[in-house]
Amino acid sequence: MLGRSKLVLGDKSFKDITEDICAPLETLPGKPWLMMFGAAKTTLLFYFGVLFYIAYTGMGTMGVSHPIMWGTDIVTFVFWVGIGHAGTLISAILFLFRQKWRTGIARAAEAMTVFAVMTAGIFPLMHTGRPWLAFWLFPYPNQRGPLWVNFRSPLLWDVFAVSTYATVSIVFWYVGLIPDFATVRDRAKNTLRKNIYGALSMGWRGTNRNWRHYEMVYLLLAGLSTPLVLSVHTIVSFDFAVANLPGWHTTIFPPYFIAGAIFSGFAMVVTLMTLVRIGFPQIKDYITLDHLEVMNKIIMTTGMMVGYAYGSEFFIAWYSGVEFEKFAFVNRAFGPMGWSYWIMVSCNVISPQVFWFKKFRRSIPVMFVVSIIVNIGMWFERFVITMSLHRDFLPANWAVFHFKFADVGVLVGSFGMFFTLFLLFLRAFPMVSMSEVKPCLEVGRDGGGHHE
Amino acid sequence: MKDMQNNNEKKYWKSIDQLENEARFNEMAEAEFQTSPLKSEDGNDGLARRDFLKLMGASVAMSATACVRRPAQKIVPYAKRPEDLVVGKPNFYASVLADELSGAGLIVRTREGRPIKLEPNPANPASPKGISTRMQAHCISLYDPERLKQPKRWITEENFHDRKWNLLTWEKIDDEVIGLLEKENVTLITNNYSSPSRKALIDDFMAAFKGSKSFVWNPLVDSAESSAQERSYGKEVNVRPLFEKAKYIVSVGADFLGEDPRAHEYATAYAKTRNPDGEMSRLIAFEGMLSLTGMNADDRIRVKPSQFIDVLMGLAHEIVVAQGNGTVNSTTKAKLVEFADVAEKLHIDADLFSEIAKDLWKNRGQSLVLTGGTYAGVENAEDLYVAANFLNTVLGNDGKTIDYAKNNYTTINAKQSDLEAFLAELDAKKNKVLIVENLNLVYYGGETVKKAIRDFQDAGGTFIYMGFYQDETGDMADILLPIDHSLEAWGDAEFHKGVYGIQQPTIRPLHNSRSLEQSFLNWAYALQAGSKRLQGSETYYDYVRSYWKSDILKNSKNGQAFEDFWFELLQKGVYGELAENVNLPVRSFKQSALASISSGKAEGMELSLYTKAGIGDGKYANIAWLQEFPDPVSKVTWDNYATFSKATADKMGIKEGTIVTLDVEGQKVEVPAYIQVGQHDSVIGLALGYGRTKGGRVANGVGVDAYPLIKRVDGKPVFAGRKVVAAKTEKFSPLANTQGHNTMMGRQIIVEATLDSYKKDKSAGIHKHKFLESAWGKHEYKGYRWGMAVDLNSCFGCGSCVVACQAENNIPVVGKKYVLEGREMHWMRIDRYYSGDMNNPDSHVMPVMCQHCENAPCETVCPVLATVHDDEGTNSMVYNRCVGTRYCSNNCPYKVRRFNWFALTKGDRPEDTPREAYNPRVTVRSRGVMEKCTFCIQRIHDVKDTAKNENRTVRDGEIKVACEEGCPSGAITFGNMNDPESRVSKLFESQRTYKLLEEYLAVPSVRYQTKIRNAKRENTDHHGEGSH
Repeated sequence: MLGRSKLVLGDKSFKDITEDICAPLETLPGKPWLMMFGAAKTTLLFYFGVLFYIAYTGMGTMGVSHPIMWGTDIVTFVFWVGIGHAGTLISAILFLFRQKWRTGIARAAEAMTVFAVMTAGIFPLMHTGRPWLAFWLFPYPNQRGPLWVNFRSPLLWDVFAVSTYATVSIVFWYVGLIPDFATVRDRAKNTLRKNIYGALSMGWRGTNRNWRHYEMVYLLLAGLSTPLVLSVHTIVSFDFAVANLPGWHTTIFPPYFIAGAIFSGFAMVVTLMTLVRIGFPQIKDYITLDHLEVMNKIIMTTGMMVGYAYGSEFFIAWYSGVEFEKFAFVNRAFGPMGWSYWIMVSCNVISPQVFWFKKFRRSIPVMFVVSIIVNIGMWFERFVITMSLHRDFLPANWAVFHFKFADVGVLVGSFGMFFTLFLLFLRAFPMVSMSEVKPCLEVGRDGGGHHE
Repeated sequence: MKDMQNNNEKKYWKSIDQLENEARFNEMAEAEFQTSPLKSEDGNDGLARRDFLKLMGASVAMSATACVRRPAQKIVPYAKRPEDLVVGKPNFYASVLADELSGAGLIVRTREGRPIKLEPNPANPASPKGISTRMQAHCISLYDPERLKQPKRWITEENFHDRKWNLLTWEKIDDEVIGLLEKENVTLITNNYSSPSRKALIDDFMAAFKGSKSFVWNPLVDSAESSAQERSYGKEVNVRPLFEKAKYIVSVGADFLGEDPRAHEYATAYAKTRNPDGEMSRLIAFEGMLSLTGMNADDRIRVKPSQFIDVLMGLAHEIVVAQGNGTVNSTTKAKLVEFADVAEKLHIDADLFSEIAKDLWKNRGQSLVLTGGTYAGVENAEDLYVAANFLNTVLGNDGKTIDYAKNNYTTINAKQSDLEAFLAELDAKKNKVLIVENLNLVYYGGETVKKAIRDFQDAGGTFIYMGFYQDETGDMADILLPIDHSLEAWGDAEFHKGVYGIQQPTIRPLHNSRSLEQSFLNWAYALQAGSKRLQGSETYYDYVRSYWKSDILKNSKNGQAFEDFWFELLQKGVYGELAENVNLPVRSFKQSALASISSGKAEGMELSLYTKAGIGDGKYANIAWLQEFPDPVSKVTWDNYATFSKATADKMGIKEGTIVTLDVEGQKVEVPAYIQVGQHDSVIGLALGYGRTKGGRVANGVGVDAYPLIKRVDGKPVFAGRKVVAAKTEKFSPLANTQGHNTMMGRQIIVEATLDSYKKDKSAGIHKHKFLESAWGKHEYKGYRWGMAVDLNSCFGCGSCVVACQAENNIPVVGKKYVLEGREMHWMRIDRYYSGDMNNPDSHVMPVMCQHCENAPCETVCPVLATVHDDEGTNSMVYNRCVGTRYCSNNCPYKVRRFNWFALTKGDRPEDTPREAYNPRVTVRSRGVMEKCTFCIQRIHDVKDTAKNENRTVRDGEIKVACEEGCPSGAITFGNMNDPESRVSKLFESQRTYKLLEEYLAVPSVRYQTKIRNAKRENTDHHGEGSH
């Protein structure tokens, strides 16, 4: 795919790579980073405020109500979990397929995954009526006799799926970071820094034995994460698909959700990478336009898969002959909340079509805008699905969802949490995997065209 | 300290404030709690000294005693237990509620001495079943924190603007009033009452003060009926329609199932005639607005109120002149000919109109022509009654379906003309003492009454108000006296002539209140005035007993000793019987009464003032249950509104919630609009009872006051038919409507069939879907399996069950703001759908509560097993285990689950149910948990425990769930499905039974019976033919 172009531009030596990538860790942040961090952190504090307000006053502070008992919290949860797919996909699946172009973006994408899952994890907790008791969803030994969790409930599967995914992603990411931490440690000039990174690198010495174990673990973890990429969103989709609500109860959900997750995850990677390239110009040599172009192709492909799913749902609803199903889908597009459906379709199906043109695929402003549009569209996709609740079986129950302050608060606030973590990551952790990029260089090779 | 008014004695005072009688001191004296160190002294939000110490102490204690269990602190209940009281067991007392215009026999459920719920007294022949929403809510008005608690005296100072109330003791009040009564005479006006003892007492008291006058008035009392009786037959009487005997009912504006004060009594009787397997009655409603009666009518015809007279006279013309039935004189015939082309003039289907006339004649002696109430409260309301009387006489119904002698209503004491007579009396200024009792005269009567009272006070009169609240009227009084709640005082009632009920107090007065009766006895005794009975009774209890002994028992034939009789009476609660077979001769109708009747005007928009099933005349507006009770027709809570027909609203560009200005002959109100399908295009409706200014924290500011729009002509109120001009404004005020959508979208939800198709096919209208078998295993029920049958054919949608459920299950009220967001908590709702022509649709109602499914979709998805199936078939909610994921509600096809979005039971909002009114048998739910109908599991357990103690199984019908008990028409039946002999099992076998959303295989334990309409047309919102 990338046969004719170089993975790392600028004829770097090993030393150049180390210098480039360690630079953000070893210099004081500039004004732009500080401003962005300030904004993100303020939003995070605002987020804490909103969460406290909700937990203290009650779920009624949010737009959810009878009969729409799930709203912004669940929508945003699925949104962030979906975003969390790209990282593991890039680092694990592409690793197994020996796609070396992944090396430039894998670290940042994985970081994004971890932070997105962390951000997502808050929502199912906070959306419960009594968040202080939400630990009851874990099957822990207790003194309540036979009282146990309900293994038939998709929400319980969800707890396992997401927590497993979060754990494995973090471990996978961390294991990948160990050799790079060692590099940072070795370059450290003050003791504190040396100690911190020394501890983080877990005594990495770069010996042959170290490398052998490392690569084995990394391969195993990649193998372990790969099914998780598929399972986690499958199970998240079960939250809907297992319910008997028209518009939720469909077998297409697992593949459709996974395609959507990859779609939104890659869009988020593109958004972040274009920003990182502006903030840290030296990174342009590692995260090249070729990388971004490949991801744009994936965005377009998955976008069309999602579009196919939208069409297929309509067909099946009609084909099933069930009056409630038929109504649910017609209502989705033409009912009182049809506006959200059309936002979803235009953002997710129509906007990525610009990537048929190479010029746009390689244009930073175009891909930045499209990637943001895609994520708006993907948020609305989950919104549209969740809002199947608003008109179900008995018309007397019908209602329309209204956003309230707290809905906007948690949505905006969650970005504060995500960006705070990501901005800290950029300054504290090597954002490109030095140990993986270096083998991709042509140093010591015959040069030209041999990248496999 | 309260005696500071009195100057004879030596004055002791604690402070200068008290000495000088400062307002601040009075305020302090009135306040229940004085400022305490618990609050910061300066009122700013800082920590007070004791708060600070408390917090510090608590933090020390918490850090020191973490992980230590709270020590068990044992309390011992009732070291000396009162007789007949077991802690945790309810006691039941028979009583009555005879308030305003309605009355019912009650069983009062009390717990540890507190009345907590009112239930119907099955021994009462007048209202054996059901209890109306207002009566149910009456119980918690007992605990209303805003009740008047102390006698008060208005202090008139030189500076009149300095309004001051002074709390006084009853002794001081008595001294003052007795002083007044020694010199002056009394003008008394009270609300309607049906108590014979009270009537005797008031008469006795008035007789003691020659020149005193008493009046009885209620803003809604229908005096036209009795005066029309006099005009038609020569004798004033309030007749009783016998619905159970009527095969063919034509109602012209009479909402006997909804607005009528006796609606629940009528519903019981009417439901008996709706058996599709027997001889089913047919109901035709002519009306302007859509009422509950119209919703349940077999055929409904839109007519505006001013033309009701044309309908009645037109029917008479059809029967007598066109079809040549009955005999009348030539004058009458000539009169009837004036109404020859009514059908054409009113745009009524002429065939239908003459068919109605034919059917009425065919069913003569078994039909019933009704009119009356506010919907028919036009200027010539008396003519309407006369015309209806004429029809009933011609048809031979008089004395057959109309009881004018045996058990008629003799006990409506109020008269509309009493208001004018009262005002004239006040204006004459002969009597210097005015007593208004239990009647919010200023609110109902408006500026006229206000001015009259003001003039009376300015001329040196003393205005004594005996009331329940310091309301609009109380605020004007010189002396304000709190009266007892009916659950706190003795009394009696006469429901029908010869049918009595006794009102037992079930709790001592909670506050320093005293009834009018007791006050009169005290005053008469002090003045040594009046009859022997009046002076000889120390308490009203004595008076009631002596009255019963001398006046009621005297007429009875059994030779029982009075004490035995009295004991039995208290146990049973009622005395006297309703005549089973009324067969009286037809009275002769004075045909000259028809002479003055003329045709109604045809042009322009007409106002129709009405009352809602919840709020009624506005007396109970401070009870949040009633404010949040969805109106049976519109489903709107917390507001009144101007109703427009769809066509009129479209023409004017009005949407639901658009504020419109109604201009009624110069009087203007601004009110949000509501689009009421089925309403006549020339009618605008507006409910009375709202817009209170001093009704209490809940009542104030809800809706607009429509009383000023009642025109009074010669002592008669005009509710309907006044010319109104509506103008749209740009303002908007959303209405808190609990129903999302008004049509069934062609789905099989409420199944309805015509009587003809039902006779051919018992399961007519029920459409079976093909579906696969369940993948789940079946539950096993070894003992009981509870089920509920809801007969849609007997359900009229009145909503009594909704409030009964609320009372039983401690269901909180959320307030308008949250109803708008869809956060209402009612466990039961009455879904109301329309079908057919939106100008005059068929209406369908269906009570929906938790269906207690066999394969409950909610149970599988709860991650923490907070909602589980029990071994008796109910779906149980474990509140303590619920973490509030709300997945259960999402997966419930019926959406019957309610979530506690906020803490609604802390008692810190005006809408909160007073804590004393909670049912101790039912958990009060905290924030963040799901709740829903439990099949009144507490009642099931109570009965099961009793049965177990008696070593037997539960008998069928022994468990009565709250909704079943509240239902006046017997539409709800609860029982054991495992017992093939139970009523529920039998009903479930009926071919009329179907399950809601059956193809979803949830297999509900609540099943419905189809609605049968005795009409020709089929339901147009039809689900589909054959199987699919």
